[in-house]
Amino acid sequence: MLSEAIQPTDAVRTRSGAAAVMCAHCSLPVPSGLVDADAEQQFCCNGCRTVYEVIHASGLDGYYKLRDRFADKPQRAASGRRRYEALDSPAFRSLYIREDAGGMCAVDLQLEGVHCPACVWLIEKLPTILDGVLETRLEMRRGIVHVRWDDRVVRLSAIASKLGSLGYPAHPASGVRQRDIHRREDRRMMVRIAVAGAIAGNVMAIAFALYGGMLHGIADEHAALFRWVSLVLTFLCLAWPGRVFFRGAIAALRTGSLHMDLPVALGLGVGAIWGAANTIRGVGDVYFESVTAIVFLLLIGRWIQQRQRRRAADAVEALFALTPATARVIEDGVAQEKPIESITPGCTIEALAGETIPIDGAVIQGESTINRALLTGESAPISVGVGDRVEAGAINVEAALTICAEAAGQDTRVGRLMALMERCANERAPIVRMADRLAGFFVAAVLALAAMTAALWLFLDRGQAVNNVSALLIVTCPCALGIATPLAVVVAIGRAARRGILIKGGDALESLHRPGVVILDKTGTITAGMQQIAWWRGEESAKPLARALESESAHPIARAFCLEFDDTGLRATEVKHAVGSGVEGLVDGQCVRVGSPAFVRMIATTEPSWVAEAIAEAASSAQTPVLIAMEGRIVAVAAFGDPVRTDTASAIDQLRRFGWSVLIASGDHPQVVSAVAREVGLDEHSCFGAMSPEDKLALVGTHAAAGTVVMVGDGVNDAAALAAATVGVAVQGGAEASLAAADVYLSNPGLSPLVELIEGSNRTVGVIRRNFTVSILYNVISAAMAIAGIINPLIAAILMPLSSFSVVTLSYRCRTFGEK
Amino acid sequence: MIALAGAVFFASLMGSMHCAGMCGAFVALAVGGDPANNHQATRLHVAYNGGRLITYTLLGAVAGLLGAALDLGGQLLGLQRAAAALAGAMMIGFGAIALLRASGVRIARAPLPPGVRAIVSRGNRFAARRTPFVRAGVIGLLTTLLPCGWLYAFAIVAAGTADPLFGAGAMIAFWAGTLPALIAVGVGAQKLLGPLRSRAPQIAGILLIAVGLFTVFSRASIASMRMDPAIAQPAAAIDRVERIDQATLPCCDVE
Repeated sequence: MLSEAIQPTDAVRTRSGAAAVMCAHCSLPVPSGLVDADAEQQFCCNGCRTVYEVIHASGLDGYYKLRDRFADKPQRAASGRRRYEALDSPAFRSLYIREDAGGMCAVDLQLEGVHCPACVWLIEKLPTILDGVLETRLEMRRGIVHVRWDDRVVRLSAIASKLGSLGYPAHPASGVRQRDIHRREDRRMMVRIAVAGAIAGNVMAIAFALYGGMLHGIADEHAALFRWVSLVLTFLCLAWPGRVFFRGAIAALRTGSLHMDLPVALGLGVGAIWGAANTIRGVGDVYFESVTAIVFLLLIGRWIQQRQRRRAADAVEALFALTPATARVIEDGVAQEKPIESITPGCTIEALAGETIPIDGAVIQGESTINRALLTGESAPISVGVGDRVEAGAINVEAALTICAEAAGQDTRVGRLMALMERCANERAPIVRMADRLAGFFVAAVLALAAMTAALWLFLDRGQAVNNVSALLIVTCPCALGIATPLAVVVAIGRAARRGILIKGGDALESLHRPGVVILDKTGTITAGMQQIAWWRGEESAKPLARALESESAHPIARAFCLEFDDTGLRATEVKHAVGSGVEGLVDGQCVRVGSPAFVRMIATTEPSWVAEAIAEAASSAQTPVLIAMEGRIVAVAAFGDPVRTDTASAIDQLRRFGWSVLIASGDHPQVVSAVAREVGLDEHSCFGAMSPEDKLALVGTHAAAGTVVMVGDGVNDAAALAAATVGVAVQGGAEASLAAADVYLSNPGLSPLVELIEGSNRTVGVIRRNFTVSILYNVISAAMAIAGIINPLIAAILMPLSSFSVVTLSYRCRTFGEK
Repeated sequence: MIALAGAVFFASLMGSMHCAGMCGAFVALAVGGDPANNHQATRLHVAYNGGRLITYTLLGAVAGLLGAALDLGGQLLGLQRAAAALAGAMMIGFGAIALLRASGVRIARAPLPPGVRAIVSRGNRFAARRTPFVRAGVIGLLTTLLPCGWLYAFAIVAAGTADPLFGAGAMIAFWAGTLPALIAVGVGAQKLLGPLRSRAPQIAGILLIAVGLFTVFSRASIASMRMDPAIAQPAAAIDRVERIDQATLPCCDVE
């Protein structure tokens, strides 16, 4: 024990230079006059000796080891950061942290206590107060913050503890069930409201007694007692339920931003302190009933806001429920329901008829048809058999399938689609950032007005000054201003999602309301993207024969034959394919040849005169002519083309009426492109054929200088242009690369959804403007009333949430997408 | 009284690193449990410190009573404010001894009171078998029994007030001053005062002398504060009693 008592680490140099002896128990220096050279342990006092002996006698010596370990650590790490240390562990790292090529880390953290849009400002200020944090984006809807930081500069635990000190305890995003956090937040909120309500009620009752006393007389002692009681209750109310406002205000000051809790906290603080001063002096009015009622009402307002916000997010939330949460896993021949999280590639899954397929994978047993409408928008079921790929979110229509899992959850195609969507709700438009700045100016203006009001009323009527300043500060709470844009955008995105329009960012909505140039890709956008028979000329009896021959081939033309003509049961034999030319074979004992004019004419002995005409007609309208010959006799000509979708012309017409100029850019032959352009009512100058991906990108670039460019496309060849455009729109059936690059995904075919998107964004911007107008108008009027001394703090507190409420209702009620 | 309480609180706060060192072990015992369970830790802190508060207050009240008795005895002997003077002198003496010891002068320590260790040990064993909340409370209650010079110096201050209520008040102020350190020790912030640690004995000595001086010189104001000015003048008091039937009851004070 001696060694422990006089360890070098425990020794502190005294002024004289000799090493001081430390108390064996408390590690404080033992006064040198008390050092007993003979004793094994040194104590600074009898108390320490007693405690030491008690601990020793109880066999609790472990305490000293624990204490030393404690003491070695820097004190800072010990308290706040300790609970976040786990975030730095390799296990957490490998599970949740993503690292990009530049060595920057990214993680999603679930935050508690995110209660209003103002929190977004605060949390997104983090990069300015903590070195090494590159980006913090808060997804308010779910309380999830995306953090990107430089691991060499700052550790995640430091970021988390900073968030904690701002009042938002952080958890790993998937570690805590979000619903639990919501429930806990709700419960805490309800307790706060209940306490605030009870206090407000009591203080109000006391206030009635005091007012009654003013009219009918009351003993000074009683008045004083009542005032003191309400003073105590009021400060309790501010310290507990009202703390949220002060915490918000302090955090705002710390980050140097003008937060809307600032004027609220100031209003409450001024009212309470002035009331307290009057109580102590025993003269003048007290404002405790107003202060407590304000806390109560503001909390209720905030709660309603929170509820509305979650309801508005429900539409987006629905998308997250697209795939089942469990899958039937087959292990050793036994099927077992397991959570989707436990599925790894290689697992064997069973999907029964009528079920949604839970994973991406390949069919290893069974044949069925699946409906992939969710993924491609194609509503006709397609048949799948062994070896075919199926995707999560597709519905298995006919019979049970056994599938070998390749990807589950986030890694599936639908998972990636959802991840895309996840980023959407809070990637905010420039107009939102403008709202932030606006709110900053607003708060500054309110504070200036408050100072002015105070000066004015100190001059006019000293007694009214505090009242009116409090009323002003309370009534101009800029909550409504803060939620005007985000709420409208969130609601619009949710509504659009329900209509099959997935919008990645709010800025897309904002850009789309300013007309510019729409560049349309041809294939799959204007046209259906697959070959169809445009017309058939010649003998009808040749149709079944041609179909029988073509049913053996997978060529797009062949598939068009199969789709167009009914199966008559005829089968072809001795089929010979000539790649790029056509096909020949025996059907019903006759030699049939179907193919390009050159291929068929090679063997043709007789050619009716109308054939050449028909070929020329097809070529002039950019269609592919196909000749059908029987026994060397040309009997029919069919024209194949990729037909323009029926809604295209009217959609383009509408877009132009909205003020957009429409261009077509395609990789196809210029003749084909201009034929399509003619059909949809566009002139030669607005169509560009034979465009390589680079050409498309350049086209976007030239128009981008002039204004908004909307690129609509579906393929990998459009991806770069989609990303470069102001708004990239991927259409139904698009390739994954185009989905990733686009800002909007239209899951319904054709161009009508594009029209709907533009209409919707126009309406959304309208809603945002109306929200701004309402909240600013409201604030101007109420501020004027408060400055004039017409409303008192209590009325102000009742009026305050009304503006937020009206904005929330306006945003929610307005038809942005869908209902026309 | 408020001034004295303030002085005691301040001294207690400044010197409480001693408490953290000495009682840290017991705090750890009392509130140690599941560190992740914040809610429980708060309850246990309340129990432990509540326990301390009870016995400290009792000690203060008893000391105040003793002081009152001393004052009475002093008055019989014709001495004014005997308790305050004695307490102040003792405090100054303690402080001086502490300073002398710190600078290396050998002054023998008072012998350890017999039996204290056994009582505290038994108490702790009793507590160990109880629920965490009760355990924390019992450990808190037992703290007062520890032969801590610092604690008993303030018990003497309490005696110096010569009034059980004020004595209790002084000890409550002392208790309040120790709170931050003892709560901090539970959350592992022992090095709170960093560089001051090595000067702890000297600081304690100076604080003791300061409070001693305060005890001696602030007594007068305490005495005057206790006196209701209306009753202090016999004529006015008699007048009040005689007119009591004419006075309106406060609650019926209609204008």
